[in-house]
Amino acid sequence: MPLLEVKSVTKYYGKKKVLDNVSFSLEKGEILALLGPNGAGKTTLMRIIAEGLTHRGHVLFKGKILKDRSVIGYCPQEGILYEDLTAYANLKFYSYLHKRDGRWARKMMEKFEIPDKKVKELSGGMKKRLSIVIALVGEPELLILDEPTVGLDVESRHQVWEIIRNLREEGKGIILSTHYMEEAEHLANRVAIINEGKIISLDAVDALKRSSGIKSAIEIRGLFKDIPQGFVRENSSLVFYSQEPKRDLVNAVTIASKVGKIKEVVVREPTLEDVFIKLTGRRLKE
Amino acid sequence: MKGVYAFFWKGMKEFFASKEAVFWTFIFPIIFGLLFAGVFGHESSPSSIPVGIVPERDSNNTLCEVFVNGMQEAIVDGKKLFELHNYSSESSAMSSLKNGKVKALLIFDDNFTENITSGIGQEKIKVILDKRDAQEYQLVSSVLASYISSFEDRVREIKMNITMEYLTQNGNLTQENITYVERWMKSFANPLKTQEEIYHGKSSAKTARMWYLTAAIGVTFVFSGMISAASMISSEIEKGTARRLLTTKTKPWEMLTGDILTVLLIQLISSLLIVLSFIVVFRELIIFPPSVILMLVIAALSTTSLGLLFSGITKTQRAAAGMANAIAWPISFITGIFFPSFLLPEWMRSIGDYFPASALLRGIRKVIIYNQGIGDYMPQIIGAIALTLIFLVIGSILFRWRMRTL
Repeated sequence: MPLLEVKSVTKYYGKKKVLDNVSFSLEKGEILALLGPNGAGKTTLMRIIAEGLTHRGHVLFKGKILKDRSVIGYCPQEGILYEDLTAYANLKFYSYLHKRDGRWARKMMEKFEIPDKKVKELSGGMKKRLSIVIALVGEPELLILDEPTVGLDVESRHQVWEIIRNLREEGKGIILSTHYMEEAEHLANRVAIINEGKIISLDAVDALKRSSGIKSAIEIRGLFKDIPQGFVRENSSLVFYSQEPKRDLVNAVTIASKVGKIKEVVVREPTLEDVFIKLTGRRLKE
Repeated sequence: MKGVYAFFWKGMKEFFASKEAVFWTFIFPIIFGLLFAGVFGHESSPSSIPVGIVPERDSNNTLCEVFVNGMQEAIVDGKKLFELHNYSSESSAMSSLKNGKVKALLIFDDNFTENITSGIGQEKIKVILDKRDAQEYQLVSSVLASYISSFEDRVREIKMNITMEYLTQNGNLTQENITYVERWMKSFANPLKTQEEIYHGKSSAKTARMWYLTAAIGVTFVFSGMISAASMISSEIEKGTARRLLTTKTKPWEMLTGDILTVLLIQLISSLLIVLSFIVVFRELIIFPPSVILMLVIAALSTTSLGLLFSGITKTQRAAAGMANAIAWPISFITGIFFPSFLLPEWMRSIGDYFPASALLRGIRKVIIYNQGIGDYMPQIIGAIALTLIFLVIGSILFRWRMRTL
């Protein structure tokens, strides 16, 4: 039996449909990444699961309708920390809310190497680490992490990834939302690509790449005035997705040279971003 | 109940972690109370009343001189009652009165002595009083009237003695009749004999100090109580922590109760510190009876529940605090918390009756300043408790509604 099942969930804000018939499941010890641009509906979906935001459809936890949200460890995107209190005081407060005592908080501080300073004196990475530890207070089997590394530097991001991977090793089911491709590629067992309230594709990263029909990406770097038909723009490059790069390379370069000046041509493996662009027609950070 | 304790514990920690909050909630009311009590809470000493005299011409050895000498020698609590200024004419005296140098003028007739001692009928003294300040006028006119009345008593006594001497020598009366006539004339001249006794109760200084002690407590309740309660709930909602808290095992009512208890305790600690500061600075023992402590707790709860209500009808912490602040200022002035209610117009006094904290503060003042019981004030206290409960219920309903619509 899956740890979590989301069945035909639809959500309206007024007349606007922000989630449209979303369904998926999550197993124990699995990380599912919700990948999508801002406004795609990722946070709303997480709020429905973690906070019980009103919706149509069903959310099942171990086969039963989820009513008691305290079984979920939830790390929302906005700050849940009290800046004037110390890290320990924050952790102790949330421990009390889960009917636990301060000893657990002390143990977690040591385990995750969180310094006992006022939160406002902690780095962004340390704050995020503390927020994730707070999500663990109720010793949940399911964790919902909304953009856990947004705004962090590379080093801090990798530290958070390490924590998330360890939690998966402990058997926890994790749903994380992100708009970082590499985060989804490095962490997730499966990725759900969500766009305009719909899950348009859900699979393992390799399977997603395979099913997208992209074998290679011909990336032509340079300065271009226009985007020719069949190409997509990625920063200052034009990208052509190809089934047979040997056959398409010359043709692609010839077309690109008509709309600008070519500096460099690279034939590479497709990334998750390429899959996303192929599926949605837009870049993730748009 | 662990949830209630969690919010209470977190609230207290957050409060004491903020130096600004501690200053404005604890230190400012103490400074405010001590400052006003220090300025107005000292013993008042009697002051001399400046009076201008225009004596009768050639006033040596006259009754006018006796009258003025008596004024010069009048002393109350070691201080001369009058400060006399002599003028040669009514016009020069009048210009002094207009300048404010003297508060009253006494103008004697040129034949004052002759008319009193030998004339038949009444002699007059012209008294001109400055009425630009109503309270000063009231004081000066009564003191002068009192002095003139004493002088009249003395004149009557002299006249009576002269009459008695005449009757004794020429009246052909028996000794028994003389005694009777003497008593009759005395009662005729002075039918009332006043017997003065002085009540040495609480001094005006102590009364003023107690007044500003309660004013400081009232200001704390109205400002920090209302604003803290309004901000506390709104900030949890605005920051997003309230949403996160709903995913824990804690119930919303535990959050509400914990926050209310925090604000309540902070207000009561602030009150205690104000009282302790008055004990230390003015070196007088202040003990609140249980009825006063109970009224303090209810007053603190009333402002907390009003703050809760404001947080329910505003969307942001800033709006809630702004609303509480905008209401706290006029409330503290027009409901008798800051100024004595007798100085306020009638319609403002009635606002104070309906504002629970000020109604309860009046009850507290009755007990600790005027040593009265609260028996006859019970209807107002019950009214304040009822309103507090109404605010609390409405605030709680609004809180629940806001938590549901997060």
